[in-house]
Amino acid sequence: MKTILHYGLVLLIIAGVAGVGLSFVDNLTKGPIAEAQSKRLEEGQKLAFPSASSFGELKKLETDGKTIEYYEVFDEGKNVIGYELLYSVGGYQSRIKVLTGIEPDGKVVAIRVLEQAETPGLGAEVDALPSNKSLLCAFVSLFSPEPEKEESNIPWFQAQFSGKSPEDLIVVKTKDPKHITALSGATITSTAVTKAVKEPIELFLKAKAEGKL
Amino acid sequence: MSLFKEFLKGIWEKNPVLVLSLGLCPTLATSGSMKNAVGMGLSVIAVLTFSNIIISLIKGFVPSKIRIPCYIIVIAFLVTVVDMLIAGFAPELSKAIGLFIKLIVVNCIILGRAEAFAAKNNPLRAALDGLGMGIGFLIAISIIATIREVLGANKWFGFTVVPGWDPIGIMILPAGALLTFGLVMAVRNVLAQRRAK
Amino acid sequence: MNLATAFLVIISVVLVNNFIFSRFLGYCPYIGVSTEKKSALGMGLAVIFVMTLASVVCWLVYHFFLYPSESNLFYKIFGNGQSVESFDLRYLMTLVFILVIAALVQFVEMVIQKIAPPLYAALGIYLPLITTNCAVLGVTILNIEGVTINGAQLGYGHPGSLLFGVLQGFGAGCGFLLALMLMAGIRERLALVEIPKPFRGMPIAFLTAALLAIAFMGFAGLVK
Repeated sequence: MKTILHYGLVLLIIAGVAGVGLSFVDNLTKGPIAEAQSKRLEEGQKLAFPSASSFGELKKLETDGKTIEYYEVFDEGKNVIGYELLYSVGGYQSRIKVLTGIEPDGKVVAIRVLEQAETPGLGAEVDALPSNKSLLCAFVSLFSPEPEKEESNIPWFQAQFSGKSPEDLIVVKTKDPKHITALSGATITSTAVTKAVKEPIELFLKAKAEGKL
Repeated sequence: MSLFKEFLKGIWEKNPVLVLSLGLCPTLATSGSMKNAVGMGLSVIAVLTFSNIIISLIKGFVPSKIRIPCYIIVIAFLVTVVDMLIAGFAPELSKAIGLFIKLIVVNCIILGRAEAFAAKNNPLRAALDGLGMGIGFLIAISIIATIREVLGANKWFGFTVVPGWDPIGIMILPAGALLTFGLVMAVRNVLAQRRAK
Repeated sequence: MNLATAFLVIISVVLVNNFIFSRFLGYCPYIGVSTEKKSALGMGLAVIFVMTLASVVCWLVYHFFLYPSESNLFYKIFGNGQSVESFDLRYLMTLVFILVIAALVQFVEMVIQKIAPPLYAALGIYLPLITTNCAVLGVTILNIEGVTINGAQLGYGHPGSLLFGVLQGFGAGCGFLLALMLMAGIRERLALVEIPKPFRGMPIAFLTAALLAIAFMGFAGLVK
């Protein structure tokens, strides 16, 4: 009996210290975690609609059994010049969340993949920057004193979507400026991103035409 | 054994991954890219060093019959701290390898070192042992990640290695991880046999 | 949810997203216990049992103690006037889950020993090893995030649905058993073969697993 009490007490003390410690660390990191998330969203919002001056509150649209989250996009005079649709689909091995900026007629302004955890080197290349910067260049630039030129920070795969109408959003395996060129070796991811752009636009336009907004 | 040797043994002689085959899951799962591998390696170093220190400090206070649950609580505590720090300060990394960071709790290297070393030695030796073993893990996972990322994606830390070369995609996939790991272990065996002669 | 979806979840987690061949979970026991078929069978069955149970218990613990919602028990008892958010204990998830699994394994061991001694004789030595099998902790954490079929998530939301979680736990266990039995069958034969010295033991096991993983890649796209 005495030993059981002793064991229980030891376990309780260790678990208690660990629990209190964790709640302390949780309090410390809660801020940065939330901040990192909202920063990523804000950056994404600007990139998906560069000409916008402000964005509306997050709204929800339920249509055809699917839920689309969207923001209204305003110019300086508070006129609605477009929308940003937030939608997620399943990719090859993770959930892909995409923010798509569209004009009122459904033409894509730009897209931004907010979340993905696809295979590194294949699907994860949706976030790869266009520069084909080689290891050697990167190594040399470490030692060169002058600051590098700012390169485009829009991944080439995502840049393809800009200016396209929803009916042109078809994944092809050849280089074709009219459609979306798939990432090599990652057709499932490419198709999923395209679906995450196309599907909400079509649903949104349909709901808008029916006056459901 | 001198303090320096205590630190060094984890790197080659008793390398936790290549010799003792501990901690296989994270080694295989996160070695698809150098970024993920280094993130994983550093997390393991942090957890292993601190868990060794704490366990060495509380060893007199913990009855031996319930030592394993106590060690698990200590390790889970440290892992959660690392997990939260990564989520806060490196959100992309957390998205990519978050599950495997949480699974450091059941990584046999950590519990193995706690039981085999930290519970019998003083905090200084335990810390050096943890640091050495952690660095051994980092080196092993980096070797595998380098082979996989260069061959499988023609990249290293995200930078293109040979412009214009089409990589061997399978090295990035699970099968490539197993293949690389088997070959690296075989090479290590050859080297060890040579040294023994 | 109908029977077809349930079947899909099982197929998906056994063949397409097999924990061993595509998720890298549970390698220590996989390599350690796959030298002969008899022990592989024992280990595999024990894992199925514990995974299914752990999926249920961890989901319940998460839902009723850790996740801040109306059904959180702490909120129900002490919650008068305070906001639900102040009962958010999700940061304890890893710690609580591993303790639940450890306790569960201990408990299962005691129960089996009492009520079914023959079963205990067959599975007993594998049970303690399961606590540190990362596939078990892995499946409980994945259940919280929802069940993934070929990337598309079912029962998504926090926490993912209990039924899908249990199916995923059971399926993952079956997938583990399948992988373990295949490997054990091959390694039993490998023992009779002359293998180059540096490849003996672990390295050849990994190369075999690589070939199996390539074979399992053929299942990708099976579940649409």
